[in-house]
Amino acid sequence: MVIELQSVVKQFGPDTVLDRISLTLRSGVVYGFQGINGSGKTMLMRLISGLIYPTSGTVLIDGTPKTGQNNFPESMGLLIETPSFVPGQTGFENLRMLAGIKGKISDPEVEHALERVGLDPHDRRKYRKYSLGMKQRLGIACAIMERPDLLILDEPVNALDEDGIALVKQIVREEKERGALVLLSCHDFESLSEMSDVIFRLVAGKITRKTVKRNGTFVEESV
Amino acid sequence: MKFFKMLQYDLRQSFLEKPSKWLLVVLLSAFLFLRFTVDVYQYFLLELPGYLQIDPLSISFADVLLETVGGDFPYRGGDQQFTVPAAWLFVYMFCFYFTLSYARDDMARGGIQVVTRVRSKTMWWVSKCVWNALTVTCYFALLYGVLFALTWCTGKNPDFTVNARIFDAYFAYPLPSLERSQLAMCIALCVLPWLAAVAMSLVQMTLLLFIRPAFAYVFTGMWLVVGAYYANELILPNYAAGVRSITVGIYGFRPEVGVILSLAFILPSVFAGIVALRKKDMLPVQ
Repeated sequence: MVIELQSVVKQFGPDTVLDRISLTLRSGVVYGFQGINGSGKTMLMRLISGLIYPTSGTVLIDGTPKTGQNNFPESMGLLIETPSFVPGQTGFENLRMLAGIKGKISDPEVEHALERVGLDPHDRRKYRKYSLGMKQRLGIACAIMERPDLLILDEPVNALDEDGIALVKQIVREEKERGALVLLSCHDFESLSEMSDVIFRLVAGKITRKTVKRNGTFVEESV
Repeated sequence: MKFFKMLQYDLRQSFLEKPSKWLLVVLLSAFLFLRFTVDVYQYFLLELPGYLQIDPLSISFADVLLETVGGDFPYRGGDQQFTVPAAWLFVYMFCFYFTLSYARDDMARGGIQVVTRVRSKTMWWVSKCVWNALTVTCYFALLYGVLFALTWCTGKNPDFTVNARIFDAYFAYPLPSLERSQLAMCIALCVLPWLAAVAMSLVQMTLLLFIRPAFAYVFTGMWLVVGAYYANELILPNYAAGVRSITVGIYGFRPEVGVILSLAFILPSVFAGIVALRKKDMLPVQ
């Protein structure tokens, strides 16, 4: 999978939240997006996922421009901000219901996704009883369960303890090895640099810096 | 198949998630019935003792519906002072509160997981429209069901025969002597109010794509008030007030016009949402 952003601009009224962003993203690589709150990380991920439209510019997936009718990537796992599920269902029931929409995976595969994030698939607790960390883990399980070609994780280590952060790092590594294109955003530069092959720095909706991991160290490249 | 999975999600998310809200509909219906019963007995037994004794068996389900959710006459000019039929307005506004914010909230919450799997905002919107219509249907089914059950349980007549004396007492207007079929009364008092409510609820949901929920809710409320004030064949809430039906015989609001008018709001609402979503971002409510 190749995702190309060509001079993409996103405006809300007078505010420009993404400013002439041009990127090429390829499968098998983990891309990290770093920036302070309001720098445009989440908006960029929403745009790539098809949830929002660019004001100008083009987003191409494998050479095909995304349009109003064909806006969502075919195989995508998504965690954007705080995950939200049906409060009166267990984690497994929630994921099984969502997996049922595509019908691509079976119940044991849903259970496996839960186990990968350290949740017990047989836990009878309802989602409303979950702690913040458990909700985040369930959101990650939901994103990875269908083995998507494009995995978007916005602030995946939010609300997670050290074990949880280690699990996310392992999952990102495994997804990369599987050949997925992984997009990450994170406040914590240390975690982000550990997981990413390429890091983009966003300031006020613009990409101001691109660093690429070579032999374990990050080298700055022209944007 | 994907559509039904999506609808199943909508129903689970909003329908079954808070069963207590349906209990409120039951309580509201019971309250309306109690108010009607107290009013009738107060009027006929206390204000007119020994003069107009009403046999409980001659009070029907139609009387209960007319006096609880049947609305009132419009403003007729002259010395008449217009008052909004509060119970009627409350019944509808409560229903529209049920369907007010779910679609908009879902757009930025769990719906993200659904819409990205279905890969179609059109399907997402149609699912919300079906959910909306089902919610209104359940609301009215519960409302009518409780009123019917209480009518039957308290020894009243569970049919659609209107009691002229109760009608006169309530609306201060004589009931025209007409042949009224049970089916026609059922359509006037149950089907049309439900259908008009589905149409208004869908319009409200479509407005939410463009304006804030509070404004959409106020708009729907104003629409009802305008309908309560003016008797006009093209103002939809007139068909939500059963007392104005041609079947009752005082006003000439024909059921077929009500059905066409309702569809004239339902179909464009569905279509407008589909068109609007093609260019609309799916974002949290700001």
